[in-house]
Amino acid sequence: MTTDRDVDDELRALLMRADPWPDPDLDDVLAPLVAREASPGAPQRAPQRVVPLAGRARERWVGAGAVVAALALSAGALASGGWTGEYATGTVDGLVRDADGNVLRTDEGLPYVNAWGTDTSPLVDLGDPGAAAIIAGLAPRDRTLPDWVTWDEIVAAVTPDPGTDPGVTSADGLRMWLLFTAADAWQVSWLEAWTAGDEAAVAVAFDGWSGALEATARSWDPESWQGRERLIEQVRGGDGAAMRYDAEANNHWLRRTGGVGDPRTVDESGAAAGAERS
Amino acid sequence: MSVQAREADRVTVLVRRFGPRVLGYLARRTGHREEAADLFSQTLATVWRRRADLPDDDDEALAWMIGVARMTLANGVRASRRRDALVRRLRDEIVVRTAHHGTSDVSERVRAALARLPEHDQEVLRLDAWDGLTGDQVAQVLGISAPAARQRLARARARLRKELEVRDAPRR
Repeated sequence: MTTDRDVDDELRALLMRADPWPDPDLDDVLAPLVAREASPGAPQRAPQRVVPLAGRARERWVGAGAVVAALALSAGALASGGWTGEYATGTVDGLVRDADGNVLRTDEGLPYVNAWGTDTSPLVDLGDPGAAAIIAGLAPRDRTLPDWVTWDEIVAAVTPDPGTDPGVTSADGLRMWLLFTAADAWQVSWLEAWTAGDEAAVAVAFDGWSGALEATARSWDPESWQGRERLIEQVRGGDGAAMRYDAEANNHWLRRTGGVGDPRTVDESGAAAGAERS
Repeated sequence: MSVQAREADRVTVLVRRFGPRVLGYLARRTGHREEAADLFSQTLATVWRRRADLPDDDDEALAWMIGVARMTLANGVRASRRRDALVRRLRDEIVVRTAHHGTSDVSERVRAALARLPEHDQEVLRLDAWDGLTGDQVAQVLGISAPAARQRLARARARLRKELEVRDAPRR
């Protein structure tokens, strides 16, 4: 005799088999994440350290071995509000040290990673009406985009929706986000050109994509950046599958067209490609 | 060991034990690895800040963590624009380690039927079958009583069954 419980169990089993997301074993990634959150530099909704804006704007900061010019803060952006008057509390090497200068480590020997990495740029309250003007001012408009998108559209894609509580982030983080979104646009153009067999357009799109991506290099940890560099080399060699796989996982513009990026799209070949790249 | 140190150790243990399930909760609802990784990082930050509130019981702690993830999701998928290196690594690892799963015709049909249900029905079914929560945990996450959660689950199952039957019925 079939009971209600049997029917429920059967339906539950059906649903379980349809689960698109098996829980992966991420212990070695979760450990440093926990360590990061436990570090004194972990992000807070309202960052604690406050540095006078006028003084900070004249500074230069060192990130990932490269000297990076401080962000130019336009008078318009300052007047429009949105700056919190505080700064990301990154460190020179992105690690947390004690008073004696020694790197703090977990019991497992992993270094405590500063939540802001090397970022010490001014913080922006993304919930402030002035944030949109700030983001618009941070866009690297001298960088070429595909002809189907403008920097204003990139800015719009990065600007939070009104009415949300998007939190606080750093100006440099926003600048990187703008570049990531521009790289995504070039990635779409590359895929279109590659599919069409248009070699000239492939070359142009590759330069745009790799150039925008390389401009974000200092925001990646070395290990992850090596994966990006490998992807760039694969694509330079004409590996359309690797490019498509990466786009399906992450591309902002492809996601807008729907259906891409769902964990269900990950298959064995994709997983292998991902493993190869990382 | 100080209270703070005990709390820190407990967060470490709980995140490593339940982290994949919390991440899975977010991934199933965003349908996107990168956003799931971002949201997971934010959830973790909130869990860390509120570690003094963690329930002593592990089952309750899991429901509490899923509840934090749910609030993080509700507060805005794009709450953090900062591209953190660890978040990116987490995203990459998710891509690498997530195996092919649930792509049979039957699974597609079940997912499609689920997607046609009202959101509150979908949510209670996912919490039960996909997130693997008990009735009490489902109630805790949804902020309702255990009897109410059971009732909601029963109704949702009935609607899903009906939806599957309708689609399975022979067409004339």
